[in-house]
Amino acid sequence: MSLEIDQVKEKVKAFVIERFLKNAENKELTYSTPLISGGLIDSILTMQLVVFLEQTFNFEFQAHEVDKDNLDTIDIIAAFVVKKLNG
Amino acid sequence: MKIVDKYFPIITSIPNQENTLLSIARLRSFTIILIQFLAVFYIVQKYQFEKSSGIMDYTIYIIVAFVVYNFFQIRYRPALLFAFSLVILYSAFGILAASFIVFTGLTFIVVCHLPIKFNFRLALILMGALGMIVFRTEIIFIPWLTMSAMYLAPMFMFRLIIYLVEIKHGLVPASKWQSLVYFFMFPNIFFLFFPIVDYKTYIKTYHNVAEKEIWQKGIRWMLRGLIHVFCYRLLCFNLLLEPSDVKDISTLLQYLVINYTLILRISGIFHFIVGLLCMFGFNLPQLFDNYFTATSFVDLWRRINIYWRDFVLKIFFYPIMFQYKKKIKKNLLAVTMMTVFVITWLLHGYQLFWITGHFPIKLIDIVFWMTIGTCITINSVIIERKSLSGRVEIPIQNNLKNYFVKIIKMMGMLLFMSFMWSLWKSRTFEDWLFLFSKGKIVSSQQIIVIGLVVVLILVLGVLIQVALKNDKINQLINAKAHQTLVLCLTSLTILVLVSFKSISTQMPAFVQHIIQNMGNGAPNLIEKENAEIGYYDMLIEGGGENTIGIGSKSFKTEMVARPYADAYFLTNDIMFRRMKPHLKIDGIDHDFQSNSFGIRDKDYSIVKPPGTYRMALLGGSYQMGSGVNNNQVFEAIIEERINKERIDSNHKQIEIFNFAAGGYYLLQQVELINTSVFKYDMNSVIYFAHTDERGKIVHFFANLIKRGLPLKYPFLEYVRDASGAKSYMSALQISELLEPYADVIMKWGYTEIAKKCKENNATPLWAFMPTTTENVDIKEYNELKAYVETLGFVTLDMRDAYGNIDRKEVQLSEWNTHPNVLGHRLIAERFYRELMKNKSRIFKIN
Repeated sequence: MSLEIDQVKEKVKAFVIERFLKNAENKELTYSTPLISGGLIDSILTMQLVVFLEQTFNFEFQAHEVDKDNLDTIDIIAAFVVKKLNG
Repeated sequence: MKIVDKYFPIITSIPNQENTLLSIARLRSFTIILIQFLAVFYIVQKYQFEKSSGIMDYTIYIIVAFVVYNFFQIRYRPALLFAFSLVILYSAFGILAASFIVFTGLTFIVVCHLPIKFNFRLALILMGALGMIVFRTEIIFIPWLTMSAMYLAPMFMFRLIIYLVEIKHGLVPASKWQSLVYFFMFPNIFFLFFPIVDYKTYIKTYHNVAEKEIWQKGIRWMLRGLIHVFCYRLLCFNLLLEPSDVKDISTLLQYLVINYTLILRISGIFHFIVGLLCMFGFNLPQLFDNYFTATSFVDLWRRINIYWRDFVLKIFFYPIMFQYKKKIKKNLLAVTMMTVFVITWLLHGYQLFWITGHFPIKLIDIVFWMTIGTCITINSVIIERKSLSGRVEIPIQNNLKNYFVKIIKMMGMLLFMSFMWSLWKSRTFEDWLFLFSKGKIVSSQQIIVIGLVVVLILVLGVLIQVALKNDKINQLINAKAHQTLVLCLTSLTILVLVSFKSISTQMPAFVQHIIQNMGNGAPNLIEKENAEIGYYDMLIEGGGENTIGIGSKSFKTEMVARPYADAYFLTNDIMFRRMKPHLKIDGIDHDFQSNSFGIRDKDYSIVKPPGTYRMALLGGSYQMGSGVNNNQVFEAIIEERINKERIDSNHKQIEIFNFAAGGYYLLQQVELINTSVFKYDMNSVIYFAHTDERGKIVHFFANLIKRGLPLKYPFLEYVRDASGAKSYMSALQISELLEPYADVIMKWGYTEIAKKCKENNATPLWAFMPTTTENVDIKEYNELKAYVETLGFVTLDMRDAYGNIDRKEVQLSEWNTHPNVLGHRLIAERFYRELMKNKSRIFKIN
């Protein structure tokens, strides 16, 4: 599956806004906004993000991959997804 | 060069600063930081920050290490830090124990990297841990090995788990030296109870930003830690109540809330530790996040001990979720969360086991963790469901209503945690329930006062929130590390200045009081008493009979206390416990022997030799000589002296039988005199009393009733029945019911001793000697003296047994206040003078 990194970013951003920032006044979300370290999403919401990524991009996460190193910003998430898809 | 590089590999991702180590700009930054660092450690010394940890004794080492470390090239620093940890280890524990700690630690690390299957490595490590358990549980008791296991465990008990998980997932450590410093973190030598530092975070944050920023953050966090501890002391000295002080709803609320706020000590210590690590380049993340302001259960979980939460998430939560996400379709989050809280409970027991040697399976712990776990789980499931249905609410509207709601939620959480904390700190459920049964509303005035306090908190809370919306204030609070220089310098300057007496005495009285409290390193008596109960107190102060203490300084203290743990066997009677006969325990600091009669003394014949004067000495741990050799106990000194000086012309020799034992009070002495003492044909019996005789008797009697032990004496059974005390009641309640009978029980005890002496034609003696921490209550002394004199006791006044010498000079240590060798010599001297003064009545000579 060949996927452009920008496409991944757009999909993830849309999901984060829709799911986690729906009622927020300030929906300003950049690709470098820290999601986990910035307190925007916690462990419960992180799991939802993981499920979304697995279902949307059709790959499987390993438990140890669920951390800030792979999920903290949309930039990082996109890079991780592309890396996973490229094997 | 190659050889050097092999052992000091260049650590990637760290900016190469080798050429800038001595640049003017760096030297300037470093000087500013060094001034602050010196001020922090001046405050540590002056305000006695966690004195029992031993960190005060190593201030010079730490300062020198900080300076040297930061002028070495970065590639050498981890090795240097490891060397520094070794210096402290060897200096604190001595060659034998430190070598054991280092060797065992290194073995564990090497095993993690052995070129064999992961499961084999894991098995080897578990076998090693089993070996440590053997020492820690004292199945094999070699004092220094047991203690070494206790100090090794906090470095490895959690870090090894994290390290193995990283290795399992192929995350190779950055360098050998960094792995070594990860395990041998030098602050761990001072603080057994240590935050769980994640390996990846530890490595990744190493010099990850400009060093002056990390240094300044370190200073700020150490300062924050000090301030937390000072707040803790202020609360402890001024507002902390004992359970027995709870009389109504107001005092109950005070008891609950203040006890919970004592968590400030833990956050203070943790901030200090993490700040100290920052000074060595480890830019570790936030540890606590204003946990008193949590507005929900999940919010509290996010804010309190963040390192612990991250550890649990990484090692248990996510793996469990992934393991079962395909198998459990419904309520996966709830199942996982509850499993994680069961694990959290077990891990707290695991932590307590390594530090205290006991794995307590207590119903209170289970209820505490399961209640908190259930609340957080329900809260999480609600959040999950809301989020799945797209109903996530982020209340960001800045209006008064939201402010009020937020403060009410915060107060609710604070009350809930105070409530749970009080349970966790209680000895038994009965104690806890009894505490609440006392919290009744006694007047409408009380409701008004409580209502006013709530309103005041609400108003203040709203005002603070309004103020926080001010950009300037917000900027100040959220300032980056390097922007807080002025704030840190000002705070440090104030703390340094007010530590000078010439300045503090110019302040108003209440400020002087605050400064005095802040600088008082001695724990409040209530806190010390509570140390046996609460989980965190147990970790910090140690529990049970041993005062384990926080860190290296307590190593020897523990060694001093250690011989007594195995010196007794429990009896199911009024004695509660008796000393084992024929003991010979070689402790590190002193030896402990008991004779064939099961008393700490040399061997005597059962039949009194002709021309011998025999005296029985009844007392507790002071008289037994806790912490000194058999021949250094004042009883042994006095016996030798009297025999040498031949002061009793009627007798060839004198034999003083030391019946004293740790934890013996008047009721046990009555039993001893009725069952043991006169088997040996005594000429006199001396009973040693301390301050608060009545309180001690009540406390012991309450324990007997609580344990349902047979009381043997009809009088004691009568008092138990008359007071209404029952074994199912809490010890606290039993004590309160017995309190009105304290005087009559004490008098009964003295009468029994006098009566038995008369029957056996022996002289009863009564000596009053304060402990090294007590001040004599003149009223109590006069009352007791007058009473025992009516019973025919010869009274010995040993109120000034320690003379004018500073009490600290006669104590074994700060945390073990039994008399040391000097203390026993002083007591012996005073005892001798009193015996001489009364020799005509005691020895029947002129």
